Amino acid sequence: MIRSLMLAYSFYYPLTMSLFWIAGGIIYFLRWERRAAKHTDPPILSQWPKMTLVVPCHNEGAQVRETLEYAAKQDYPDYEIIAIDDGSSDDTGTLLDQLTGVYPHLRVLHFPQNQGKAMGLRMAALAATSDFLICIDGDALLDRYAARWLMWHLATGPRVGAVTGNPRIRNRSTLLGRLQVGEFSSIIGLIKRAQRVYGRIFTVSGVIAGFRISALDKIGYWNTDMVTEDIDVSWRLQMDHWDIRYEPNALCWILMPETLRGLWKQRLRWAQGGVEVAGRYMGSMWHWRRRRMWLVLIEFLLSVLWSYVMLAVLLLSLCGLVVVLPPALRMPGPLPGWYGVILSALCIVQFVVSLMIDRRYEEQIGRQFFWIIWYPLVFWMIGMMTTCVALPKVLARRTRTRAVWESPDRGIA
Amino acid sequence: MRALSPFIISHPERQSGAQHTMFSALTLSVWVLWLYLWLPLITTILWMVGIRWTYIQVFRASRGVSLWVILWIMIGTAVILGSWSSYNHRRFAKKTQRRQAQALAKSSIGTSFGISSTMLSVLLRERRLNLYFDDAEQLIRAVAVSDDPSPSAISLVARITP
Repeated sequence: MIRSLMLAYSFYYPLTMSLFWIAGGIIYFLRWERRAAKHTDPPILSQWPKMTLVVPCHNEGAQVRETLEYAAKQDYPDYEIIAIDDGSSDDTGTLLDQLTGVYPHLRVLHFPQNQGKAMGLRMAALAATSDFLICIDGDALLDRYAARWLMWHLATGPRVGAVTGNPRIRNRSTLLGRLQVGEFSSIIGLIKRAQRVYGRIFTVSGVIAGFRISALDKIGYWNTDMVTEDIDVSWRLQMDHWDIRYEPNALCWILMPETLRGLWKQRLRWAQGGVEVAGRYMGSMWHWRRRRMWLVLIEFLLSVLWSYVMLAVLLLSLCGLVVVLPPALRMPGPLPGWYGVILSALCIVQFVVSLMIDRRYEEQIGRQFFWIIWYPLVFWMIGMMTTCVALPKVLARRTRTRAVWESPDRGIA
Repeated sequence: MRALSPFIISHPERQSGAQHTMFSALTLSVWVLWLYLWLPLITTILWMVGIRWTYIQVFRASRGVSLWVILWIMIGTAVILGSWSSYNHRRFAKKTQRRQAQALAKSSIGTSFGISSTMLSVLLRERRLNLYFDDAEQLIRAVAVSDDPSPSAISLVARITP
């Protein structure tokens, strides 16, 4: 009985979630994207409010010049840029100071010690002379029209507390780079669309997100002790009844890890962040007025449960190859049954749907998919492994310590 | 690929939508009809590779994965999400649920961070600043950096005790 339940759950949970994402992606496409203008033709407002572009940096000397070059080229009438040099040990601070001479609307905040990204964002909100922030990472290149797309939501939607954009992977030299192109397009993009259709988003992408300062003020801004400040601020905004929207036209070109070690560290951090946020707010979630967040929390808890069930199934299958297990613990052998064919077919369906949707934003994206048609299966396996490691790590980290920067792997230049 | 001869006229894009749909449907139907004629041979080959066994496993299996179940999940997810989305769209799309969010006064933001008005004015005015924090993550000093970045040229603009 338990064996059957484990096998059924390990198969049907990812299958059902993938189908939800596909359905959500199609519904979103039909409602918002199919007839929408091109991303180079953003909406028009009679008056665009001033906004502040925030660029937190820690040891970004190699990238920050290019980042600011693109930030300064925004097609937006009235904005300032605030760059934060967060205790960098390289030449980031000097470069930023020099660039103030090149870009008259650039301002720079220096922190003598590393305070963490959340503190950088908090100080930018304090120093901003506008009512809106658009936050990008120190190595992210913002598309020329991204600010207009994000600000349109914030300027026209009184309930909108935050808007998240569409990160696109720049580095594709290795298979890991290509994997992430497919992942952001076919999995993360579909998840964001499905969540937007549902009405609540698990997290904004920290690499590109716009915020209303009055909404942030109501929730107390970013917490400095969370591993992933973006998941945390997303949950708190939505628990305070602010809407978070997804804007796929707001493109932002980012660098991602291209080593297994770098990828593992990044994914482990994401998994830890999710577990940490769910653990912290689980108790305060059960009010009727927060009911729309219930499914977000329940779905996350189901994904954690799935990770451990799947791990148990895999371990028992491996043990079954070596020793004879009791019938109650005996798992199917290594030969795939029809469930394997169905999962493989689902990978193709997921890629076809995302290709249909995503070709609006990037030409020839299908070429990337050809190499990684199997990736949705690997995505679930990575999720399983990181979650299984993240949960005990979060439970062991009892005291609230400040989350500070660690320079990530940025792939092959 | 060689270019088409200039004598040939080929502009499929000039068909009307109805024409395009009709001809596509017609082509598909004739393809199916043509394949149908091959059915006895296809059946023999499929029997040889065990298609009947596969059919029993996939559609009739009581313990395996039934495609009917998968189909129901597919329909279920689409219907649930689609209905929920339509309900929300009808109920909320044209309504403003929250009054226009008022912009906050900067002094109010300063109060949220526990800093003085003097320090706030420095933060809002200066282009280059050094910020100092205490162990409780409280901003305690905001120092404007002059054009000369040497320490002697740094001028203390504000100091507060929160």
